[in-house]
Amino acid sequence: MITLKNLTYAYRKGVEALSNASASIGGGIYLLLGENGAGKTTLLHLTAGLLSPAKGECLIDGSPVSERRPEIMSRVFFLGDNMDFPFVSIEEMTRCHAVFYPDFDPEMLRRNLDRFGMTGRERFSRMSLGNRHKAQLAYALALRTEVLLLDEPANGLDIPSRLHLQSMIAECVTPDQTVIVSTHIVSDLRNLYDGVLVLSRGRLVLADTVDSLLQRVSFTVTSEPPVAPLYVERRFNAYHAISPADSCDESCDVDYELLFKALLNDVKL
Amino acid sequence: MRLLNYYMPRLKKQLILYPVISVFLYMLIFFTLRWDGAPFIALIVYNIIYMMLFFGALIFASRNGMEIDTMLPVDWRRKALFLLVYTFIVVPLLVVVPIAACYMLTRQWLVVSPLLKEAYAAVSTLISGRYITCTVIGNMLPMAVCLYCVTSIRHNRIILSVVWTIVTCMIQSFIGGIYGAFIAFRQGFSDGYNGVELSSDEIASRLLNEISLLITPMEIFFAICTIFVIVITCRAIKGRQI
Amino acid sequence: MPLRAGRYDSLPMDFNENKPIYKQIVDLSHARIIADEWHVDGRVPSIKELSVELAVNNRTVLKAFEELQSQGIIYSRRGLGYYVSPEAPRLILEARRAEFFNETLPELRERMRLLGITLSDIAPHLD
Repeated sequence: MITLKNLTYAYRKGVEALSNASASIGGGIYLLLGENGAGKTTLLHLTAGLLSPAKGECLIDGSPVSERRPEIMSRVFFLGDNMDFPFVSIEEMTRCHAVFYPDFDPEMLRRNLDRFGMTGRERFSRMSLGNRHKAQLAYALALRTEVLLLDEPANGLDIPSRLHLQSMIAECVTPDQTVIVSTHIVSDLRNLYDGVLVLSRGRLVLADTVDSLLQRVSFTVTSEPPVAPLYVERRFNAYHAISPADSCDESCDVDYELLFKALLNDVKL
Repeated sequence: MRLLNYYMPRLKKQLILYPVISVFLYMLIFFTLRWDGAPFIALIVYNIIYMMLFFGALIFASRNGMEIDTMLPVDWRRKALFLLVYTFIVVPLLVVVPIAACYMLTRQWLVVSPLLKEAYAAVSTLISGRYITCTVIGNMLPMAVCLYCVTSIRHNRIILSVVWTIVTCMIQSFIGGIYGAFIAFRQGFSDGYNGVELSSDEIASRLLNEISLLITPMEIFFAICTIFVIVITCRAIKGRQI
Repeated sequence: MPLRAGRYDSLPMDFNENKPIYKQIVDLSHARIIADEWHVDGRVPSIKELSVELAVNNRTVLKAFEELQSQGIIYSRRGLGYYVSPEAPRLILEARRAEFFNETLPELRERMRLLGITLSDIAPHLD
């Protein structure tokens, strides 16, 4: 359970990367959306304890992450976009690093690597960027930390690998884990999300589960313009709209791109 | 300890290389003792050894991955203790023990003429001010600075660590040199003033005597600096920001 | 050492954007039962298994299974999982027929009206 309380961070004086973010994030796979520079990576860094907030705090299971207590740090893992592992291979990493994470599952790691066609003995220096990323993802999922933060996980992955990642996340993540996926490519894991977080210009404008969201609004695709939508967009010859939940019968699944655009246009949901 | 296991892949190289280099350097001196250029070779070897000590902490910067290091679920005090013990105890041992061992084994073959000994002393003390002012404690300061840079600098870690360590050495030598020269001049003036005529040898030895008595304030100053750097290093380990 | 290609046999399927996923899973289940991939009185993959296979959230599969249960297509046996009910093929066929008469046919009729096509126009094509 992640709790954000008025989380604020500024890289330079006067430029707040994140302002007053507050939310309660339970178990599940969450999508973190935001424009470039909106503060997504900052939020993930703060949640992982890699940065200390200027104001406010981020709590994991009630304890502030910025204190970096070992009991809490062993429950979080952050995998960045272009992160380096200080070891030559996944095998070395497993030997020297995985021991610090009590829920690490070596069998899961072996299965994940196998899916990507790797053994774990390959040297990072000899791998392409995409393959290195795949190995890192396989490892990060196998750590089975309570909180897993992924920054652009599908970056650099070819299409089959993206699909493998999708399956891997479906298979490896259990309901008690919280996974936050920050990405621009919504389509990849679209069917997996339990909740969504949206950052706009440093402000957390939405932090909700999909279920809760769908109780408030509906996403519809119609050939006729909708009656009283909160936000509507015309794509080809269909109207994609977000409307209050009671005003229509059946909602489609959440259209994240539409949701994002609506929130960027300051629509209140 | 798990922490040792964690750092071991990085430290392996140093644990093997340092003793080997130390032995090699000792052999270099040993086999060139009778040469004319022996004192200068010794000076070079001295400096290489000092560099090995000062830059020992660089090994922790040898692999990128500050995020993994920072996220590691280990109490910051343990991390700090590990780094400090390694930098200030293990690294010097890696350098000194092989040399001491070689010395023990080859002592009987060491033939050094008294003239050569004097030449050694003179060359060493005159060329580098650090030998006047620095003892064990003084040498800890560059090591501490290197460790601090390695733990707190984010970009261009290795280059900047090297630069700052060298700057520290230069400042120490500079301070030592000025201090020593100041003391020497004061001595020289007072003796000359009193009309005492001394041979150059006697001047040199009296100089060294007086100066060695005055090392203490210098030592204390460097010790305080070292402690300060160690404290901010611990703070950096505790609150390192990415 | 070149990397082996990852396994391609277990890639999740693509879902249509416009229909709720859980409904598409219901359709998928119908199709598998009709095709006898899931046998009558046989065990249906667990929610977890299916969610992994399709790379879809557990909740969504659960919703689909609840729908299938309410349709009488599957039933659950405590501790053992979900099973295909014996009437399932018949029910599915009936549902499909109903869908044809309630949705496909009116749509076709409307289309024919818009295009000015009469019954006699299409009769030869239906044999």
